[in-house]
Amino acid sequence: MGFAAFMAPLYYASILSLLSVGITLSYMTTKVFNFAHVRYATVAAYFAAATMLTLIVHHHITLNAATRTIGGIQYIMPLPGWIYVVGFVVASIVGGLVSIFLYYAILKPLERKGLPPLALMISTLGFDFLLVAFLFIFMSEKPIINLAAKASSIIGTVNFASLGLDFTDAYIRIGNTMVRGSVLGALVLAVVTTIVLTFLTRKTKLGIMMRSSIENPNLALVLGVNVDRVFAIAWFLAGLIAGMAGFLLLFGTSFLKFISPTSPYNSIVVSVFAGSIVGGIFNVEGSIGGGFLIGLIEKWFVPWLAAVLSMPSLIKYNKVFSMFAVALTLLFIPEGLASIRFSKFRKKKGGGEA
Amino acid sequence: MTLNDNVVLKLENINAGYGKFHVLFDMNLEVPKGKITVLVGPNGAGKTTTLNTIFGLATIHSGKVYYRNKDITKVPAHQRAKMGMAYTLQLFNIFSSLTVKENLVLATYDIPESEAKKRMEEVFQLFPRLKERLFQKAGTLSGGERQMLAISISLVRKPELMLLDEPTAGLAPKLAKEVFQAIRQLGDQGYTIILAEQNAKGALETGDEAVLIASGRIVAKGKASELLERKDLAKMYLGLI
Repeated sequence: MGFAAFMAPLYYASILSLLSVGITLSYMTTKVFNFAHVRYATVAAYFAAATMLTLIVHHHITLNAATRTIGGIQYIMPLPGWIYVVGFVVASIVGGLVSIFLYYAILKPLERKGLPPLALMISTLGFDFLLVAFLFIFMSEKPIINLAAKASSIIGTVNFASLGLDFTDAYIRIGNTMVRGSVLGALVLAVVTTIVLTFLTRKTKLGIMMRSSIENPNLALVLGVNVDRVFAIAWFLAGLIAGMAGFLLLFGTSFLKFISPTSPYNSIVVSVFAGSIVGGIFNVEGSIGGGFLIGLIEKWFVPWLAAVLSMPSLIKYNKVFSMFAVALTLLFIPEGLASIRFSKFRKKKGGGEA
Repeated sequence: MTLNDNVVLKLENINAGYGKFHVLFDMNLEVPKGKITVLVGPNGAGKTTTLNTIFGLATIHSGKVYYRNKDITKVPAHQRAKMGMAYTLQLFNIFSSLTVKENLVLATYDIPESEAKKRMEEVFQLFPRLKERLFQKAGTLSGGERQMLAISISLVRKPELMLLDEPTAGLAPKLAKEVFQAIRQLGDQGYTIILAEQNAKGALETGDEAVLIASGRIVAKGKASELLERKDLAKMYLGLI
């Protein structure tokens, strides 16, 4: 397996872990499975793409295919760095805002009316349909592609395809391979998100308020915690992380190929929920690990198995393996992999040997 | 509205409940500073709803709640906590999955660390057993210890007004006595406490002032010791005779 082929499943696994953690964050706070969560990524990607393309058109930015070096590391960055930064920031904020809109405009009013979590869950499905309709009306493929075409007419002077590279993703040389920036970005973001969320939930005042509000909202409330606001922050964070994943998805296969109001929901949502459940629906770090695991099962284990069994069609059924992992988890460790006390296990093993 | 200096809290013509459900009717109540006011009455009388109304957890249909000369009728619950009120709930009043120490740390999340430590030591003087259980999961404590922790969670916040909802519920008589003694000790230290209790005898022996509630209405009020002597009320509402 080449290095690039080795990295591709890691990219998918990282994206899944970023989306799974959002499902877990929203579920932990409101006990609602948010069916619209993955669509945040689509909406965020649309806004990011539209902003980046508009900036390219407005500033007459031309592509730079030159290989540059920084600190001994070779890289190619076709667009100016700030364009990527703007796209990333826009995607993150849009993801967060869409999420907080769902929380305050739909879930809270329904909750105040006394509706049970099941009804709230169905309302998230309704909101998902609403987002798709919004994308079809205002930002469907045609306007985006038109904008892309206009941008291409300005920047498309270099035939990147002949170089075997996608035209907007950045590349960094690792060994003999040029690795996609989005792949490395996804990996780094998954690691950073895990560290930041762990620190936030365990070491900060907000984290303490979040943990107390999740465990016992009424008690947190009488201790002076604004539980509503804390939950809203958790929902914003979930959306923010989904927005980041959306930005990275823009570069997934080929820039803008991802863009369609129904992408990547139909295929990815099952895997995202699987990641959240397998890792631990009540554990932030667990869900990140779960998403990663499901990603590796689908993009690494299943292709390997297909090759070993000489059954290439098996790859088409990779989601079945995710569902199988969910079934096993719910049967044997309902609270997910994060609930396993490995330290206890080690002690027992040690005791046995003694 | 100006309250008498000795009055911490006042309920004025309160009609309250949960949503459209009406529980309290025309309730008027004054809570004196530095005293233990006991709310007694039969099951379902509205004792917990009275506490919930004071803390902003119930729906007020009409009437006003005044606290330290301020109308707090529309102030949300979390802000009342910041105004110096503390509420020990009857159920789910501790963070079971956390240790005793973590529970107390959570309760002091908005207080500087050095001050929080000092307050914890003060709490341990009242409930020394909690110090022995510091690193034990709260969910594994005995019933009495849980109630001690629940009261401590309120106490470390140094409240000006403490609401205690049935702190002896489900406890063995000996443990209940210990909890009542601790509450009396707090009263002697100058804390203003509203104690809602099913165990009328223990509560009336502990409190200074008493209010008897039945069917959402105040039936009688006065000195706790006097109410304890009222055989008619004791027989009709409190099951003491």
